[in-house]
Amino acid sequence: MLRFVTRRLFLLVLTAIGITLVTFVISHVVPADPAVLIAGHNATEHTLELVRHQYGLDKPLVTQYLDYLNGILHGDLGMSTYSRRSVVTDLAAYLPATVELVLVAIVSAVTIGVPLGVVSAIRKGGVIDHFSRIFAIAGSSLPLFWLGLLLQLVFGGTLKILPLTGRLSPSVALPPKTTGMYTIDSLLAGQLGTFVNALEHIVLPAAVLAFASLSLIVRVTRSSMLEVLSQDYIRTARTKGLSRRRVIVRHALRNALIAPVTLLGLQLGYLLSGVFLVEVVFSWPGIGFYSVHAVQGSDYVAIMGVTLVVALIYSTINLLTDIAYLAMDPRISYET
Amino acid sequence: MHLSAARDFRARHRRALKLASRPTSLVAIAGVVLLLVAAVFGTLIAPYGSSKLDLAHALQGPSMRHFLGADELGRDVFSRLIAGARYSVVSAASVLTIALVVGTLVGALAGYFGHAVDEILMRITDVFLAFPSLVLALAISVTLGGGLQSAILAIGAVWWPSYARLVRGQVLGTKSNDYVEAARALGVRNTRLLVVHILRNCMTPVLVQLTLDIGNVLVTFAGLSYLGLGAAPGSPEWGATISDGQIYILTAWWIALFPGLALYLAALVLNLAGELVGDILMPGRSTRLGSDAGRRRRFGLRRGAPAKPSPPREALDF
Repeated sequence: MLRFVTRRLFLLVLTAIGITLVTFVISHVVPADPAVLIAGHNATEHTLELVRHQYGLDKPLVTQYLDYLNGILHGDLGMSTYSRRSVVTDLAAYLPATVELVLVAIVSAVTIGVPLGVVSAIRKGGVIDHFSRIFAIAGSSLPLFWLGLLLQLVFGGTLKILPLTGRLSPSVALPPKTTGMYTIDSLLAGQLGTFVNALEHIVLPAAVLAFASLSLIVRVTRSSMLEVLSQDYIRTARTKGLSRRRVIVRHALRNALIAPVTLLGLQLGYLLSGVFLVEVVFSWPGIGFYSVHAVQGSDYVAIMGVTLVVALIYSTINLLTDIAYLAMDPRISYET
Repeated sequence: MHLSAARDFRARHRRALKLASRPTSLVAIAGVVLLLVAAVFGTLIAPYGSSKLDLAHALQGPSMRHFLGADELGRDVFSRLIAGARYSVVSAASVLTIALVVGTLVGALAGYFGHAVDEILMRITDVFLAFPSLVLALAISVTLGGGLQSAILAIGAVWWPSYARLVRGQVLGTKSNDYVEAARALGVRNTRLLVVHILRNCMTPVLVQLTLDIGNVLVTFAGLSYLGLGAAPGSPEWGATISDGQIYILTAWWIALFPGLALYLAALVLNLAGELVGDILMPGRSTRLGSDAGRRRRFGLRRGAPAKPSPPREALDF
């Protein structure tokens, strides 16, 4: 197990270097003149020269890359041309909102999806099964931003029970900054009014994000459960006289849940992409919102910073999911 | 021998027809045909042009004059919807062409030559896969200028790695076959060997993957346009119209919602059609994600022999 973890950590480092290489190539090698991207298309030649010198664009590429890498290792991702703060400061400000949204979405998707998938498998052909199957097909092609708009219209416009945008209503007090996630912070500080308000704001965006994962989680849990239930040891357990409930809960579930857990890692990439769109629809001030505004403001440095950070987070979480998978499925450790 | 080959062909045709006559398949086929008709003959079908202004009736709801309503400049939503179909179809086709060509090239070279070439190419592929797709597409698109072509290139750059992996796996599986050995013994050159003998026999899974991907590429492209990259705001492309219509969501919801519905339905029928193609060309393909094959690949056990069924853990608990 330890050997596996060390090997994967080493691969993670290599992947991280690869990620920095890709972002470097995209930002410094691909464009015809990176200075134009930073300074804007209307900049004079004089300004471009200054920009080139300031950003070290006149040095040889290898030196530029090493400087870039050096900056990253010291936590410097450059200066946002739009907000005039360092990109790292900007990200630290906007990241908690995204984390909160993704977290709520994943938790909701799993708590609803896994039981639904299990029940679908147990009562195969029943009402819930058919409903989940239709739900799965319908959900797999759904454009997230359209669903967001639809929910905004229905819940915010017609029914008027949920707010349209943002994280908190303007009149509500901000919770103290512990994690940066309004729901958790307000709960920890005992500010129930703020908590309820924060919940009201997070319901729609999280529901949209969760929806796409939900259909896949249900489908995978269902097929994994069906596969496990057809195994011999389950039949043996039932023949021995164990009740259905005991067999399912104590024997089948543990093995069936391995597949959805692995899925979470894969889903995270999809969620990280989806969160960008959802944040724009609901004006949720996370890093997706930040980078889209960076695009509109031609804040090139910020965009590359976000790309790098998101990719690194994604790779790290994939590693953690793999380790969790290893812990759950002993067949892997015997073979590794 | 001729007779049995002909019988086999007819049998496969019959099977394909049977699969295609299921209700979902019929809906899918009809939907795809409708989409293509809209894309190709759009200008002939649409009641108004996609940019014909009618300010007197701006922001009006669905009516006899404007079937799906009018937008803020009085343009007919329905006509713009049909015009948008062309953008979607052309962009999706372009993206997948890029992804297919680059992916096949990389995968075939990696699978055929192996060793160092394989390692290097696969490491590059893995690094691309380390980025969430939209995020990378965003970054590349911005770098390239942010227009329609940039978006197509960007999404293509994000999509090719999965094809590279697929083709590599297929080539690895096919290259040890006897007929390849025989051809090589006869003196067939490397390139010809690769293309004619190996690739031609392993493109079926690639084709299936292609049909399954069209819907997702469509939605991704619309997503990029929605964010401001891709089709320019003001063009009838579905993502762009959704973005333009968003501020009117409470007052004139038809501007944003109908293009979105079109996008959703297009993606749905394309996905269903993809599943149909998959069922016809590769019956019994596994779509499970927790399968053994997936597990072995993820843990770098690809060179090992297929796993023997080990005793399940639970059997020891009794």
